[in-house]
Amino acid sequence: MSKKLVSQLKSIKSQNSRINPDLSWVTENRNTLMAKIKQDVAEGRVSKIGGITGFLDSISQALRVFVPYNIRYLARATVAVLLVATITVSGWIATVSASQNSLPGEKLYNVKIATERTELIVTSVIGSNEDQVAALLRHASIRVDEFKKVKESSPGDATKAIKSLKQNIESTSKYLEKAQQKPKYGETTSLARSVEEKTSALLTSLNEGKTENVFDNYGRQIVPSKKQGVEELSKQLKETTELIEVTSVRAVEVLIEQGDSGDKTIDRQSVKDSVTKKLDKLVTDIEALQQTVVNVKEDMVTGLRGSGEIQNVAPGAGSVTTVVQVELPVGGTALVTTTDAIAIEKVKEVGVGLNKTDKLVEETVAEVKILISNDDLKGAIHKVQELNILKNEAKTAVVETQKITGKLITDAETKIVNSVDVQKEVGVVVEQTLTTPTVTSGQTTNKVETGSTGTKL
Amino acid sequence: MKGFLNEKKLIYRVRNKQDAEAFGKLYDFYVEPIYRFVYFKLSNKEDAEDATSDVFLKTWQYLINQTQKDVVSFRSLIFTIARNKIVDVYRLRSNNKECPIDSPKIEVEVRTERLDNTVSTKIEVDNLLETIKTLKQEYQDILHLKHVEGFTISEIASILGKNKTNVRVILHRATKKLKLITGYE
Repeated sequence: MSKKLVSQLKSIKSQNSRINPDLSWVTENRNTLMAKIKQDVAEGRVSKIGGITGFLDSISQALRVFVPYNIRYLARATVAVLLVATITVSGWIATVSASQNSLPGEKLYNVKIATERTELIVTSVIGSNEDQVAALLRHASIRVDEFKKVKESSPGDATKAIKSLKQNIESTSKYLEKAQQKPKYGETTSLARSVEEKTSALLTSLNEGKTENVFDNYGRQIVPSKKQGVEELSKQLKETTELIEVTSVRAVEVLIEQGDSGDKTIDRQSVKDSVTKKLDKLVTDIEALQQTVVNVKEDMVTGLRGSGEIQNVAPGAGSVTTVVQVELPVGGTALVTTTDAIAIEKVKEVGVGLNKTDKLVEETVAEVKILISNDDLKGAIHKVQELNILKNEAKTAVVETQKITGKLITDAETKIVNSVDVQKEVGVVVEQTLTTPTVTSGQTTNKVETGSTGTKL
Repeated sequence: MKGFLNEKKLIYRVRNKQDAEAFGKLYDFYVEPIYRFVYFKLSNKEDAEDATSDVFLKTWQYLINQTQKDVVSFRSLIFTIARNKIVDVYRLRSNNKECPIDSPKIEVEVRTERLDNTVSTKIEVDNLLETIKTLKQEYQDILHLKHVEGFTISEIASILGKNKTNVRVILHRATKKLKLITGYE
């Protein structure tokens, strides 16, 4: 056939506008059709079969749709083989149901995880993206429950649960990203709404499981055998919580984009409320971080002072330890070792950094509130995302100071600490050489070579 | 292959769960081809819109109510329903003695002047469309389904209820006739 003729035939779609439908009519017609169909389903005009008959009907439908008739006909001969396989599988089913309540570290836990993975594979074949995300978030919720149950007894197993939770959230985030890049009418909104609701619930549940009372903030009350496990758990928990927060905010962003694109199923006010809730939570978290830093400063100084009398600092009598004078984070000065001085300065730095962050947060919060009141929800959610990043950076710094303080407090119990009158301006380091005491007949005496009198802390 | 499986998944969801959203996705994919097919035959925008709506509603009802019947190809099913709908409209028009007023016949002309390429191509395409409408219904259907919508011979055979050899023969005759009228070689 003539190439020109073929190419012109193929171009009829693009060249002749009358032959193509109006896009506005397409959308309107879709909405009308969906409404009619949903009404039919709701009013029961479409019959649904439930129970075991319904289950068998589902299998029958799946076969009719996916397997051509001729293959089904031939497959009748293999029914006997399937029956034998079923008897074998039923033993597996009993194992699967027994594994549902198992926790990380228990024997049947792997069976539970395998069952969940199978569910995800089956959903990916016959379900929608929304079904897949619903399954992922359901499993995520189970991981959080498992974490809460084993965190005290076995940090290692709790870490496994959190890592698995993190994978679920990463997968959910990918589906959300795909939906955001290629939005589909109805499906994207539904998916984003589901992600927003369930991730918010996950964050609430994880916050209930906070470990501050059990695991000392500075890692001192943990037995040495669990210490490494706890540190890894804290790290994974922090990363996973941040990931859930980011995903939750992104879901709100998708809802806003869908609303702006004309999706009338989105209630603008409820999206505004979601943005406001996210903002309020961020503000609360940042205030909590500020309080944590205040506590860290106080605990550090208390720990340093708690050692009381000057004690042996060096391993052997006659050795010399160099100390420096520093201004303490809560005011006043002290003589501390060089290592401690560095630690103290680090804590003070974080405090200063957080003060700057606080100011920036205040400004950003005000901006967000103005954007919300002007109905610029897209601008508002971008600012919320920036705030989230700020908060996470601040949290990383605070966690670091907690570790430093923990070490410092632990070591301070056997260190020599002394304070002297400030001879020079605050902040100037004065090096003094301290001679270690000599132990005589059970008593400890000290000598301090200094040009001025010192006072004990 | 992936598109084929996706379509099967959607049909399963519609039949088994009466999932409106799954049907919505089928609508999104097929609304334009169905509208084009229907408009091509009816030549009237309002009739084409009404007929397209009816086609999708009937397709939904078929999927839900005729669950014992296999759906070998959804594409064939929906186009068959569309063809039946077109016949109904023709019958109604014939009874009411209606004539479409949307697209007046344009006489096929041999172009002697050179115009701007885009305008020239568009006019040529419009002329071609009108030329096709002068052919037999059978020829029109096959040319539209094969070259405008890009269906395979198997799919066309399934839609028209003919075997593949028959479709190839008709296609050959249709293109020969079209070349004769348009003067393309």
